[in-house]
Amino acid sequence: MSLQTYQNAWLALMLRPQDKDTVLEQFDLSEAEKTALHTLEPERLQAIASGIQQGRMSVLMASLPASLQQLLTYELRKALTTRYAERFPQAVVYPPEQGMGSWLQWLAEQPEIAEQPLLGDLIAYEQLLLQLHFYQRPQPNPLPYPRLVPWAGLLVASPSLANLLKALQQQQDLPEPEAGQQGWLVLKHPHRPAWLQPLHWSIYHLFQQMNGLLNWAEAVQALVKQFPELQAQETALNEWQNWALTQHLLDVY
Amino acid sequence: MHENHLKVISWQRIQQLLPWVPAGPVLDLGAGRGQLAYALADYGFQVTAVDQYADTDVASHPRLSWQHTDLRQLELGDQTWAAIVCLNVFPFLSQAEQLPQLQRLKAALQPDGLLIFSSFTANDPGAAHSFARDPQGQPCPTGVLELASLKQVFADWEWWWSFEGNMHDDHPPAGPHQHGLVQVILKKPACQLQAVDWNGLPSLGVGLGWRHALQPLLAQQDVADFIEIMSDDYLNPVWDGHLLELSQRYQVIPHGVELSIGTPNGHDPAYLAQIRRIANRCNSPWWSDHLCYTHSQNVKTWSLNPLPCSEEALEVVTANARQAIAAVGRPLLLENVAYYWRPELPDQLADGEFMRRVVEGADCGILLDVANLYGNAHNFGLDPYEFVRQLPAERVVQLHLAGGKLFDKLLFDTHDHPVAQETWKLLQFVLKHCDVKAISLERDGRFEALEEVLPDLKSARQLLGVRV
Repeated sequence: MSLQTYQNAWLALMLRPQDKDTVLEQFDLSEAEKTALHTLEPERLQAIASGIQQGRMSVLMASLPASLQQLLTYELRKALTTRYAERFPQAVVYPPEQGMGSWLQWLAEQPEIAEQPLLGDLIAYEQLLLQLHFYQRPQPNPLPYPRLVPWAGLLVASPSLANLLKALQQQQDLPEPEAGQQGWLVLKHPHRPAWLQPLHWSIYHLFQQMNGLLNWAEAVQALVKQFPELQAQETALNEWQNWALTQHLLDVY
Repeated sequence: MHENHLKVISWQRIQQLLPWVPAGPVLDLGAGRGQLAYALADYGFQVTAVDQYADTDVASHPRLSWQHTDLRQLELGDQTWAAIVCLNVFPFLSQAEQLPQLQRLKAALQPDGLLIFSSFTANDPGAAHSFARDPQGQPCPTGVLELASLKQVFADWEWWWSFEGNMHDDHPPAGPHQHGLVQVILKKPACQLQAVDWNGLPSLGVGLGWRHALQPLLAQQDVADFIEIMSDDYLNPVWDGHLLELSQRYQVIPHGVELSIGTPNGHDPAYLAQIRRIANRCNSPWWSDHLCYTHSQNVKTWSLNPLPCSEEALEVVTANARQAIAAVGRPLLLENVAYYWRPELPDQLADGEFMRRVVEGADCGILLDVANLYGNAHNFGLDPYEFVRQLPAERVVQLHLAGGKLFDKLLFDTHDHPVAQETWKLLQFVLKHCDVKAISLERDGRFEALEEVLPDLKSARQLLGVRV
């Protein structure tokens, strides 16, 4: 008997209780284990597996970001949760933060969501927030040059995004979606709600270049090379470094 | 921008590591006007700010106290502080005083505590602008400190971060000049967990599993003597502030579901490191998880699956438990799970015997879920009293109570009803046979009927006979 094989077989059964015989054939179980597992009545197996599935769905529902809970009706949330849980029985749901990225990514691709541009923006914003973190043990080795701090991120979304978030926060009517795209700087500091500010596209691209391997002036030069129309703004772009520093947006760790 | 500007210690860098400061008071040496001390107190720490010069223009803070004295006159204590922040105090000391004062700081920190330290180097180009004066009032050379000398003093500490280099400074009367800085962030080694004195663990009384929906209940006075948190909800350090707040109101016990102590591949060290951080934050006398497996290498079901009571499972659990205890550094309690099917295999140990051998082999305690014990007995016709008799009485440290629900003759551990009469009867038997230190009630549903919780807590308290 191998404990690992038995456990793998049991966990697989929890994911596909309806295919009990097929699942069990895939594992090199001992005769005693096979006999024992074959005595498990399908109704009992189904009851145990659905208990787990119900628990997963309830965690998925509860872990949706507040903004999405606010925008999606209960019925739609329930339908989407059920669809996701059934389609991806192996998807991690707990702790919620571990599985949230895939859950949000899948949500964004669903027709009910994809047809609403504001929802797409909101999910992209929530996905970015998941990646931002403030607390961390000090990193031992500095990078050669600065990059954006880990609680700041870049996002391209509709120009309406700020108004959408404000409307949700203040429970007002949602804004009309605006055409076009806007580069946003999103910040998630633990002592204040997440906030964002629009960036001129040149600054957006400049921040994108700041990967710890170029200094600011080199990043500006690389940007000007990529977009020659920015030649006249090179000095101004260099001066944005002071703004980034005073806002504590750069770090070398 | 000076090239080292972003490399040195800043408030931001200190702030980022606050979740790793264990429970206990924080000392800010050379606090000046208290900017850093206030921020630390705002985060939730009890802070002592020390500065030789009294500033009368300083507002009070409930978690901040001041001592207007010199480091040399300050009683630092032994293993007193969870963190010591000592930024550029040493330039006020003569060379001869520096190493002895470093040794005092070293002794004054708790195990697992953090030292955040900055001073001028021995090769400080700005030495003439330093503050240490000889008895004639003449400037002293500032430093004997270099990274290499600090490495000797703190050789056995965990080095989290260090910097040595020049930094621009500009203050009157010197004007612009450079200083050689040496800065470190170090963690004092933890004490090795010795064999646990199970009878010596503290009595906590009757507690409640913390859930957001229970807040109205907990707002009432004296509802719970302690709180049990779901440790997996606090793995992200962003929740540390909340944990700190909770732990200042209650004794907090971390209770997890994702340890998966029965998985043969061992534990994830990163997971255990987070549990350690959480247990340190709460200064918990123990932590707990379930005697089960929740996942394999490829599948994570978020369910507590029962282990076959085999010799192989016994070996796996014992080895994993030892690893987990060493990594977290506090006693571990394992909980018996509710199950709705388990294979009947040859050569299996009885449930109680299996648990006894696990806890004795790994030096664990037991979190006995009385409701699970009753539920399993109900569902499988087992004798719960025999199970209890098989357990080593001094290892049954904590009990869980909850109310479940019947579905088609099976009793499910739903945590959403009052505790069943049969569970109370079993509880009385357990209390008669075991040296229980704590009982906690779990409630995970039907929050609209919270009034059901209070009588259960009252009954548990009466039966435990302890009010802490």
